Amino acid sequence: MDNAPIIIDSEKCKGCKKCVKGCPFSALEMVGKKAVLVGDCRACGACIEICPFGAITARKEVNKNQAQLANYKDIWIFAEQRDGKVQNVAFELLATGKELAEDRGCNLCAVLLGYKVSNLAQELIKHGADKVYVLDDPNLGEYEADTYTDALNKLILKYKPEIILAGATAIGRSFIARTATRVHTGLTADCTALSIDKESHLLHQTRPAFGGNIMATIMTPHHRPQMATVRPGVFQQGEPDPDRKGETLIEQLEVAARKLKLIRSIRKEDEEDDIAEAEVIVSGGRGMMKGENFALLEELAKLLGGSVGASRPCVDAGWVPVSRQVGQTGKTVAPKIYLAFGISGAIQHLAGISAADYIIAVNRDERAPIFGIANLGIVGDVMDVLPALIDVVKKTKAGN
Amino acid sequence: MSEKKHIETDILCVGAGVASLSTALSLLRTLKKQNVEKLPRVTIIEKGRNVGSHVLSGAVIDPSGFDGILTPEEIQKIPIEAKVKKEAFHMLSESASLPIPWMPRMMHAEGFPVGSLTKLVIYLADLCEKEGAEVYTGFAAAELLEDSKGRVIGVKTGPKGVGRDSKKKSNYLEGEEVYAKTVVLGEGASGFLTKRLLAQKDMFGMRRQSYALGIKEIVEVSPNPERVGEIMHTFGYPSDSQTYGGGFVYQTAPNQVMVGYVYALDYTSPTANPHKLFRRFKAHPIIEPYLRGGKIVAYGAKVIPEGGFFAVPEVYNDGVLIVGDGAGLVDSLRIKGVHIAMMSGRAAGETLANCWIKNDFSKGALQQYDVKLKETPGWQQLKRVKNVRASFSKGIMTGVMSAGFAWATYGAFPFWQVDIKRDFQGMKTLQETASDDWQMPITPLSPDRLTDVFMSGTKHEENQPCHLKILDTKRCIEECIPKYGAPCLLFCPARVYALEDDHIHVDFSNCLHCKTCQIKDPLQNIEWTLPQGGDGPRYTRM
Amino acid sequence: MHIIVCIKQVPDTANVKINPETNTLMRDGVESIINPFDEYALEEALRLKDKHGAKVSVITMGPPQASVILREALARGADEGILLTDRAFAGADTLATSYTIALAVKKINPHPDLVFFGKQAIDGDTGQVGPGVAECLGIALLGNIKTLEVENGRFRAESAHENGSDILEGDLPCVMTVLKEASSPRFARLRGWMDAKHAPLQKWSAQDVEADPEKLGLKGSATKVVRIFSPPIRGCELKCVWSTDKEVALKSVMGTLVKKGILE
Repeated sequence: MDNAPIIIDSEKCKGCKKCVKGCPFSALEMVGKKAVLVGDCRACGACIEICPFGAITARKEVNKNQAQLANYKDIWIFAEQRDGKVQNVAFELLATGKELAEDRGCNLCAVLLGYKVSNLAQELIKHGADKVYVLDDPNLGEYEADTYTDALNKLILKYKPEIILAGATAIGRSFIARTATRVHTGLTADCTALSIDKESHLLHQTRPAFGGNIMATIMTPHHRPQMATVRPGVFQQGEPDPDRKGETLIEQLEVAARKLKLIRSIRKEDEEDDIAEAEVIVSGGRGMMKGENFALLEELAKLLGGSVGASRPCVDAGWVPVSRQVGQTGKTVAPKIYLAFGISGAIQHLAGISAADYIIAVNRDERAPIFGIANLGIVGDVMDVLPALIDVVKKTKAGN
Repeated sequence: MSEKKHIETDILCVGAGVASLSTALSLLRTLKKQNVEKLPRVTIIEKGRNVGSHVLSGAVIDPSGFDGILTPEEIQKIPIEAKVKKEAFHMLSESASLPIPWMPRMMHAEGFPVGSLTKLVIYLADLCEKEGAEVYTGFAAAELLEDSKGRVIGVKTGPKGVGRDSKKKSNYLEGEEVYAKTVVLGEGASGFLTKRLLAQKDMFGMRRQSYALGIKEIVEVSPNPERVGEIMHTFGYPSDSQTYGGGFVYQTAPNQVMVGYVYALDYTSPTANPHKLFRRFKAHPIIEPYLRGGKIVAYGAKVIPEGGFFAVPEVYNDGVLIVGDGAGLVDSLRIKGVHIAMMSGRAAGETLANCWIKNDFSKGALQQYDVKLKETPGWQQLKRVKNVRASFSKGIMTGVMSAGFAWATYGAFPFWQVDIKRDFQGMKTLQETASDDWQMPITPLSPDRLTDVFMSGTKHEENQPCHLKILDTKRCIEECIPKYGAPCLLFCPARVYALEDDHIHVDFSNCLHCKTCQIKDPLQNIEWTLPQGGDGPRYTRM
Repeated sequence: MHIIVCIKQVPDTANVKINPETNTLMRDGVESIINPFDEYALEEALRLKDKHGAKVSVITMGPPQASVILREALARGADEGILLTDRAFAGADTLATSYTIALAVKKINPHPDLVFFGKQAIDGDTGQVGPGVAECLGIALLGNIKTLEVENGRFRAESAHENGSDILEGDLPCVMTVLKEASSPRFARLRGWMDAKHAPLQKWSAQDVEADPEKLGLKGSATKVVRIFSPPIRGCELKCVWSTDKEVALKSVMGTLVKKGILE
């Protein structure tokens, strides 16, 4: 292929097949005894690294628009607010953004869109923003993808930020993607790590790929701003500095008119939660002994703002409805925290929870297979641990 | 979309197994050879999710089955790379093995393809579709449709979207009626419709069918290219002298071993656990080295009809033909049925081709299938060993003698029918049975049933009625448990049945569709019915 | 009414097994299926077809074998299937993919009433293409749809978010991403499959949609993968016994809850 991202020197190729095996996209094959690019090369560089003979090199790309790219400065975070309250993800992004801004040697700014929200700027400054751009407009009062896209896009055109970070929330996932397309730049979703490359000064965006099987580090070399979304809770908030000072710029830009009419809002409590979307799952297995004991799990789940899950036997026994079943034949879940109480960890169950960020397991049997996959294991009777844990959580919440 | 209430096709095959596919191929190719212009519409429906999902066999395949169905190039290209190059027979005791130095020619398999029947079936289905047949997966045939005269005129598929409470879910889909000039039943052993057809029209053979349960794993091992094509069959340990059981281990690729155990279901001990026997077999010093350092990547189980010649039912009736394992066409000494299934498919295909040309699908015309089937070499093999399997039920020595006679006299002696009890009969009570305390730690190469069943890929819609019906649950507690200790807890290779407090709990979603439970239950209190189409195992290389 | 549904063929990650040594997913022998979220998008379209007689076109961008999912969509009741396939599309990130799919949508109908996407694909998990296509088409976007009613060129939809959901009304056309809370996907009937088996599928290349080669595939992508590595193996940080280490256990659990942002 003429303009493939890699060049294979067939003289140096010794036919060891390491590159063929190492290509995550199955793009290389042996023809005769030489490696040949036959499939879709994604320029990930894995083969370049793997080849022990240095037979594979990257095709040098022509760097376009370097001068133009230099016009873009500063790191922005989208300060998501709902009903006049800044969402936690914004503070998490500010904490991370601060480190990135230091490495990059630039300002950290926040973008606030809404109606009658200018007062929120102070909070953002205290959490690390050097500047806060506020676009306060009745059309931004309630979230609508198209008005928010218009607003952010206008700010981007005016100020040319180099990097924009946003939370991968319902809001973030819709209008940020739309904005990236309007601006014609790259967007990486659900990043788990962000850093500034020392040489190129580009933003390194790391995220899981292939269903979590591998991690990929992604960059946006030739387009600006470099955009990325991060799931809430992936990064930590910092402590606000009450003495911190910063600039608040109230923008006077015209925003596109709203097209949708809000008829009414339904609050979460009124509906049944879907455990597949839950961030915290408190799950019970046979070790819970009785259906009545699930009341404890429900209590803990409520305290933590999570959902109750269960392994198959509990569903079969009628202790919980089938919508709560977690496992290969139930639901596959990817919560931040999965608490497994009295679950042995049969492989069918593990198949449903392998994507959880953090697994805490409590089981009486120290050889239970679940301990092989848990980040934190507690060997004990669930009926001893649960009440004690609920107690501590209650006390902690009351103290806050 | 068409507005008609039903679907019409010309030939409907139930089950996309080797027999049905051979029927379809043979039918279409016979007609094309004769330059028949208008070809019949051939529809094949399969309850598995994909072609091959419910297909499982050892398998060492007698290539004589391909004759007349596949071209020489097609035979070359079958997706089974390994050919038998070294075979051994061993009689096992607990710690030792006795190689059998000589076996009659009819037992030899040198040069036979050895590998995945699932892959072969996928290949055949592809050839079928290229010839113009159509295969539809995920549809279970739930009911035979008959006209007022009792002639089979089609099949109704099972409904989808029925909830656990038996109520219709929001996406409920009613079963669809498919009418055909002939229905070919290729459902495999103990097939759902086949069982009902035989009972309803009294089409049973000279005796009822008997079965064995085959349990199999595929193990990925460190590459060992020299061993490819080595096969071993064993008998003796861990089966007792009264039960026809044997194991196999085949090296089918440099890094792949197929290992399995076949256990006759007329065993009499209520505490027998075929899966445990499989584990004991794998642990035997002569078997274990094949698996050492390996990793189990697939698991499955299925019953094999072993009744042989005397148990073959009537293979045709008005509007319907039975091919393959459903007709019990397995050589019970060699335990080979794939080639005979293909021969039956060829016989059926050629018969249907004639019917199509003459436009005559009457019962009289379909009889030709019976005639052709009984002219096949496979049928002669069945006849030859007609008493061997039953003789084994009287003990190993009797069985071996009978096999010797069958070989020497080409089946002429013994000329009477050696009788054999039905599989579910004759089970001893708990009191009459010594307890089996044999234990073995669970290891990655010797997993328990639940871990194994995960490797089968079996999956069922959870929110549907349990397809395994316990007809009278009181009998479990009052009769079966005191007398036999609930053998279903042990004979199911998928651990579907579990004892909970005071009842038998059925984890239907583990089911491998092997059919053991309805065959072996001593009280005949379990009925295997159809789960939602598309459910069940997902074999890809069994 | 004309509804265009964009679907994707993905590996069935829900059916993979775990490699017991590394606790990662094994993808060998995994089937390819319609992205489960897309099934809900398709079902929503078919529901509107049942109710209002809408025309449903289904489009997928992928290799030739992706045509299988178009047939399944036809078997369920879609009216036409279009396969967007070309080597030039390969390696596209969401920007290039959005561009390509938008071109195809315009070619099917420059003025569709509704364009549906599933919430996200279970392999890429970005959920970005729906919004990206909306932008390229210049059509309004509404995400996370649970319920939808359409009448006289206007729609009323329930859009979900973290704290609940909003009922919104607006004018067509609109691009929507559909959630699993929407109606359960219907089964394809056997007759549907039989009709779909021989139904003609359209195959469009980059040239057919008049794509600018600079905006396609790897070339048209703004993001580039620079490194691939194995995720850290889940390690057991702590295993303790309740009877002797109660305090340690509780402290660890609480620490984790705070660290993950569940508690303050």
